[in-house]
Amino acid sequence: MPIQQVRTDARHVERKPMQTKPADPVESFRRAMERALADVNALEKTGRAKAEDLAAGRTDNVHDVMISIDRAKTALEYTLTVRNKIVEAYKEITRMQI
Amino acid sequence: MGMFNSIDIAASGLTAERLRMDIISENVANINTTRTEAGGPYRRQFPLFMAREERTTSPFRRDGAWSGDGRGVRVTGVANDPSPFRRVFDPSHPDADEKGYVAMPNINMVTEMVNLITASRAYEANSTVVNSAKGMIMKAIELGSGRA
Repeated sequence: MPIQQVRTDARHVERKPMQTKPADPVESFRRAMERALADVNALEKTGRAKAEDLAAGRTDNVHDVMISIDRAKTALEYTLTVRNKIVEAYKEITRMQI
Repeated sequence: MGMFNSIDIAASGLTAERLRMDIISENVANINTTRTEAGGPYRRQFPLFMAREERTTSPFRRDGAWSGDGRGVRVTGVANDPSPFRRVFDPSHPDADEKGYVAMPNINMVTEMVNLITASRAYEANSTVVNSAKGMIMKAIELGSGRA
């Protein structure tokens, strides 16, 4: 009896393939990088627009401008560091095979 | 909680304190104003601050994590001080009433100066928060890079 039960389980597993196929790692990395760079670009655009407003005298909210510019710079540095680390890890993995 | 959340909250504090400073400067400038467009002397103004919260339940989740959506402070309006006007006896003033009293604005210079200092210190404190938060983020970026 127990042996029969095990066989049923094996057949059950065979019939159902994996539901969610994981995305190709290269593809998903590229998409993640694109998304991150788009976010950073948006932040930088906002910062630049606010700086232009301040220079043109349309706004006098100085701290808002400074914080937006700072935020863009920080986000860019953050993205660069993350990218460096991922690329370094990838290089280390390729080195491992030799 | 986003990376820049505390910076956003401190930025709202900076804006609110700057507005308070604007209103204080208006009060001080109008300390002897006996005529306004609405008639009568200038009435002291002060800003109304309200905590800008977007959460409906307690920010502490069941597992102890913090899910606060606080967005800082918001200025909901500028209110007039309802305290009575100062009455100064000056019959030669063109705005004196029939008894010779002139109603001067209900602004006390000392109070305004103290509020000015408070607003200025609060602005500095919020600016320190922004710098500290940014310092924390930069430290996090440096994580794991000190290999040497």
